[in-house]
Amino acid sequence: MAVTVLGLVGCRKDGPLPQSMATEPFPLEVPAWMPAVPVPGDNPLTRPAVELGKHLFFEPRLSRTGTVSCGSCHFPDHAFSDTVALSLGVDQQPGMRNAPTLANVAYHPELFRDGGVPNLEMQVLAPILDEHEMDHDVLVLAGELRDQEPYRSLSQLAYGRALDPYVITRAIASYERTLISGWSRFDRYLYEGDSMALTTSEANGWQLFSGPVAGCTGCHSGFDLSDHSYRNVGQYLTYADPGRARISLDPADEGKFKVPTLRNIARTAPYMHDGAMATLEEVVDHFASGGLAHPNKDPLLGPFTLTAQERTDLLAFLHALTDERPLDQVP
Amino acid sequence: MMNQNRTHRSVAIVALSCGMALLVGCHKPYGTDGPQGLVRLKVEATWQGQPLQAGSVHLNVTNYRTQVELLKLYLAELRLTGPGGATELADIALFDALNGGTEELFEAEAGTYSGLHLGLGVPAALNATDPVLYPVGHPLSVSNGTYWTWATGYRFVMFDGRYDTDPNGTGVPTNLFSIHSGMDPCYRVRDLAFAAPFTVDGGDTTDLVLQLEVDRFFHNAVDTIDLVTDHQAHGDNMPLAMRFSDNVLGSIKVQ
Repeated sequence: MAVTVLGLVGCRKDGPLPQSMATEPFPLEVPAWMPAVPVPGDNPLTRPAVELGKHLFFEPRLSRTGTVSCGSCHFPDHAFSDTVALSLGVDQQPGMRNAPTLANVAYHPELFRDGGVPNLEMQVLAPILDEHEMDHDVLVLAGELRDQEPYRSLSQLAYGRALDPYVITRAIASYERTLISGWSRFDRYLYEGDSMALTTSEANGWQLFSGPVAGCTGCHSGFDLSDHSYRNVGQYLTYADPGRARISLDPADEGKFKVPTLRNIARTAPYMHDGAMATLEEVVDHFASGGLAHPNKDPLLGPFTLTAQERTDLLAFLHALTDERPLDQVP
Repeated sequence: MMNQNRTHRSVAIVALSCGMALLVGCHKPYGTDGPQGLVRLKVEATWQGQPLQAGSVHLNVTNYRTQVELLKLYLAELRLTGPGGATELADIALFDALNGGTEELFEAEAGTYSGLHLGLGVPAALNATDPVLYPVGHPLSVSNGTYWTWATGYRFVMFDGRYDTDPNGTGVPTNLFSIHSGMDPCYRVRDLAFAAPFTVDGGDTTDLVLQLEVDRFFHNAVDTIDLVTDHQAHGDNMPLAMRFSDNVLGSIKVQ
């Protein structure tokens, strides 16, 4: 019986996944200059796990109403972010925060904008159980999908067990771990020595971005253009959302949110933790203003002045952070 | 291996006990490997000494008509203590305290004990664990609906109901309250002393009852919770959650 089950196949357009692929590593492409993707030892990045995760990621039956999948709020064409300020969950209920891009989420030391979840595996439960998002019972949904293909076969192949909450969380985490961003023109310019990859305006924008006037790299640093720290950027004088303080319980963290990656930023509007800014122009102008005088506002933020050309250059640079290939590496 | 065998045997005993929820974490006695008995621990809510029924209406300390509809809580680090040593009952257990409460069976070393050590809530190490790693039936399983995904932690005490500020009102109180404690700062521990020695005999089952005096949830010697202003806590009102935790801990009485 076990042999029969394990010999079953996943659903692929180009044919079944053979049993020999059960432990085959997923052929993840990562730019040579980027750090290796962190993968937990108890959830190796195998081909069937990632394929199962992709099926589950776009499965609306994860939600109580059968209408909302992860992909309903994380659109591949928008670097796996949403196009509205607050995503709508089951029964058209708005979520709490703007759905962020999942690009390079594998590298995040903590998940969510307040860092409340320590790893991707544990993050998966949150939208499924959240009454404003999918509002489902993960045990019930596992039962609903368990005997359906491709879930039955891929679950056995990837994890040697029937679909259950463990498999669901591990598989979706595996898929999310493969969403790598590192193929923008900026990457070619900075990391691959292609000095022609950026226009003059974009290159000037990079100089502004990383220079002392704008000083954006004080927070948007490193290969992910984020140091993944939590900062208050003076968006409000009083925050309706406590941000990092919700987790740390420290009033000094009120209004602090994780510094977002700027990769594919031109595709991930609207912006800020609540999606309150519709355009990159608004965002640039906010930071140029130095932000509002919230007591927790980050000391790195201060007003600066840009000429019209400099503002154009900075915006051009931000548009050069868009990947030239899809984030999704699963056929 | 010896302890594993005991755990499995105990779980089997509990599973066979009709009407008892299988909501206890693994437990291993420590100390000498002496004869074993069973402790049947019951946790029941009371209001001024009488068992509290869901939906019944009572006047609380602020003279509000109060109707409790949900009262579930985690108890942790349960162990019998005494001059001769201690025996662990369970590392974690989940109880529904209304309508006479629920019982759990724990294996314990035979002996005479003078007190009970307990934690109210889920200790930090367990609170950080992944709920999908626990099987259905375990107190920390995601199936219990006690997990706060956004904080990756469990709700410690879930206390829901209705209230009405008019003590002469009638019918179902109109206002809702929902106070759920959770996150590590809400964890509390307490050592309860038995009024008389508590003896566990080898091969026998001994009953132990913990009462939660729910009327005391709303006040202690220096603090009063006024439901008009203090009626919601879901991780977003930690000052109230911590005051509430103190009151619940103080309300526990051992029989």
